Amino acid sequence: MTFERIEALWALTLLLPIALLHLRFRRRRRVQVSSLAPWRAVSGSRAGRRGLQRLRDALALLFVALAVGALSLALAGPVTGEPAAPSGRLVIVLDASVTTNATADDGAPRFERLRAAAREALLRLGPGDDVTLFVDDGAPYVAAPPTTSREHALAALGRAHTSLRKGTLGHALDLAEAAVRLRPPAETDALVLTDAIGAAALAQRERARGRSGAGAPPWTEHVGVVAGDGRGNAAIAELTRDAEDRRRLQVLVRTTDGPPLDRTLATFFGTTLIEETPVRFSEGGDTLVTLPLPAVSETRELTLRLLPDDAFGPDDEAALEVRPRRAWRVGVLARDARPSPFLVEALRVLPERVDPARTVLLRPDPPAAAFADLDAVVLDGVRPEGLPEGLPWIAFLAPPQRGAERPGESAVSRPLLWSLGAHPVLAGVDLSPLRIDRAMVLDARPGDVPLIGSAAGTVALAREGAGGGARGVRGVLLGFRPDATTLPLEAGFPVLVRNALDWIGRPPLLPPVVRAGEPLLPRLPPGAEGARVVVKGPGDVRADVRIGDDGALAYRVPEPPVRGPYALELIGPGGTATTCVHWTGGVDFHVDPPQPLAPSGARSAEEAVLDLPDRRENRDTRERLAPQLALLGAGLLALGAVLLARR
Amino acid sequence: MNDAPFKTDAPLLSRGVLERLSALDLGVRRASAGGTLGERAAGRAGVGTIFHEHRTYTPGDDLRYVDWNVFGRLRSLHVKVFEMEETLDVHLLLDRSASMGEGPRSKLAAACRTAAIVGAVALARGDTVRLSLLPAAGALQSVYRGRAALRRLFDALAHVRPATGAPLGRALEEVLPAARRRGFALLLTDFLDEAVAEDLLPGHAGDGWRRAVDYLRYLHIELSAVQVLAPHERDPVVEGPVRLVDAETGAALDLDADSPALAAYRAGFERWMRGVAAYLRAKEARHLVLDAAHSNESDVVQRLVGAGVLR
Repeated sequence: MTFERIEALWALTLLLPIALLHLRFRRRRRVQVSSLAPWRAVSGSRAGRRGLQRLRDALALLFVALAVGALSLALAGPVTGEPAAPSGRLVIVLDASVTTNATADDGAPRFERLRAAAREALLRLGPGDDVTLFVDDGAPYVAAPPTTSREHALAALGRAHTSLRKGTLGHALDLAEAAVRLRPPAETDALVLTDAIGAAALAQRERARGRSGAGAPPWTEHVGVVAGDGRGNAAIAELTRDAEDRRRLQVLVRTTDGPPLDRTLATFFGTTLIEETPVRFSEGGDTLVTLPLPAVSETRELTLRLLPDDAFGPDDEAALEVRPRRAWRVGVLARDARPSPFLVEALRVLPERVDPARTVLLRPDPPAAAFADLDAVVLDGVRPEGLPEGLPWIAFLAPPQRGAERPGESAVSRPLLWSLGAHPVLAGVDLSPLRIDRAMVLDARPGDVPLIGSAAGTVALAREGAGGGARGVRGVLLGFRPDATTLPLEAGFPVLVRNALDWIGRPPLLPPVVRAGEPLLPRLPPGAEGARVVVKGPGDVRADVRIGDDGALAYRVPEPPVRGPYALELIGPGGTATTCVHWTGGVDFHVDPPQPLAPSGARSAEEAVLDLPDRRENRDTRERLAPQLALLGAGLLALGAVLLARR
Repeated sequence: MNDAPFKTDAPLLSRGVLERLSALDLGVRRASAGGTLGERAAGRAGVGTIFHEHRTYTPGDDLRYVDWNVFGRLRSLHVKVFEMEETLDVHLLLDRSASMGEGPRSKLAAACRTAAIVGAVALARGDTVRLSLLPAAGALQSVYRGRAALRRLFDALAHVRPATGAPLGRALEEVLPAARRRGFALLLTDFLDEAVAEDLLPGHAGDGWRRAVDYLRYLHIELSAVQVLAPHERDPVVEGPVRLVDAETGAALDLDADSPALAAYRAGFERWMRGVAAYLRAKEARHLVLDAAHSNESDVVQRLVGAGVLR
């Protein structure tokens, strides 16, 4: 207890005269009376009250003395409690970069541990303390400008979320430091909450500061680190269709941290497990897994998930929209408008590949418009040159008659055939019974893949053209007509046709899957100018449409704030093409640092928060007791006066 | 009120009062046996000038006293009998104990003044005034006769000082031997003595005023009691813790004189006053209460006349 006017305690000396007065009045006055006789009766009747009177006098003296004491203390202005300490300033830098999506050592998401620590730090603020919240999610920003409102800061903290970008904690600290220096100097604490990756970056930054001779930061820095769970990370790095067989998916799985533990790649339609494929990593940490693409009757989302869960979940899953294979509209172009019935029959028996209602027989030398709605062309005795760009084809060429070869052409009669390599077109096709009366020897261009060879040369090849902005337009060129072979009599003929159709599959306008951040070059059909891009899905993703130098529409898919999948629609005059956008994980980062942090620099996020001063009780707790003491003194004085009056 | 100091060279009573007193007489109810011829009718036949009664002539009666008027009417001889005229012993019994105080405004002064008044009346009537100071403390009873003795009486009363000695009753017995003499007594006291009625054994009067009253009755002396009190005795002015000291005995009593105590004292004092009055009434004594601080000569005379002590 302190006193505001301690000199007022001199009033306590009043106790002395009060005591003397008491003794003075207690002393009996000597009075001579004529006779004690009349007084004796009074004395006798009052004998019992003498003790009571003494007690009353003593109490009156006590009350008056206490009243003097209380009033003297009240005058002295007693004060209990402590004044509030000066307000403090706190800067919180919260790491919300990609690695904070990984799990911490207790299994909780690292970012939630960091956010909880930040929340605790905010709760330790005292009245009047101000706080600034910086969040580094790869692009540091001020989540909460300097505020003395704890509620405002907590709300801003609640809105913070992780990103999938690499952290730039050093830059965030530079930003925070610059902001602090702009303000009037004050005692400042800085709480940096990050994981081990961020801590390693901070250590590096510290060394750089030391080398550069930069001064001390304008705060007392507390670094809190959330440790990883050490499980390491594997990611689905790529998800694409098999270039050779679009009915197959190729999944590139890569490890970034830790030993390449065996995993399992599970395939789901929704929540239904379709298949589990073991994943065994090579020494380099990569492995390519090939999976069949399930056929669906309606558009469904195919999800691939790496199991078991590892430290970093966002890159353990990839999703793909699987659309039902649409039966094609095939145009059959025969030299004399009479295609081989075997060929037509082969097409007819593939209704899942060829839409019989929409398959057309083209007249010779059809105009370009005749090909507009076709997905593929089957040429019987017609060369593929002159077809519209971007239209896949299968061409059965009529070999020239013996002696009627044109320059550059050659033919072979009754060749001995063999398959060249294992090509999807020939999958399941037994060539051994195949007899060809006469076949044209084909000139293979660079990039062509020979399919069937003979002593005279290649008689069947697969060609993937490139040009005109369209990539991957395929064709299968066979140097014989079905009718001129025993092929139609073989069970393998429809298989061959099917395989060829599958292989040449018309590239969609959009790839089946796109990776965020990479440019998307849709195949715009002729006349598709004015197409627009719409991205649909959770979160707010905006299209960034840009016209390329070659006039092509280029679209860079932004990273979705919330992992997809998203549907991207390309709406053009020719129709609407959709694709699935999903993030396949930025796997060029470590979830945990290769080297552990030095022990001296490692404090957990919770410990770092406890290093901060707890100012939540920092308030002026001073209480002036003068009114209470004055009231007490007055009451005691009144009591004493009452007792004295009753004497 | 006589505010002047009680000086020995000043007359105890003013001339005006003395003149008034000359017309007064004592209120004696019964004849006394003064033993000497005087001017007060004795109430029985004897030598005197006051016709008392007629008696039938018997041989040997002095013929000078035959009432010839009666003979003329009744044709029988009757003689006149005259009332005996003798003197009255007026006892002035003055309590000079310490409780009566001292000084011009004290109870003693008031008592002396009252004694002077009654003594002046008695001397004017030719009575014998016998002044007894109680306690005697060696002083004898003083006797005064005739008007010329008035000054001596006044001087004696002016020099009365408090004295300690025997209680009132025993003191009276000492100064007034038990000769069967009638008379008139004026007892001037405050009636405050140690004995309270509750302390006395049944049938015992103690040594105080009760004994004196009983003794006077035994002597067939007609008693008029003048109770002289000080104002503070009826209404004490004390407050707080006090040590009361008895003026006569020196005994002390500690008391917290608060309001209830004083109220109890007043009630008890009134009760005691009533007890004194009742006792005196039972003993056929006149009772008069005088306030020592508020009693001048005229008031005292008036009070004495009102009480029948004078007429």
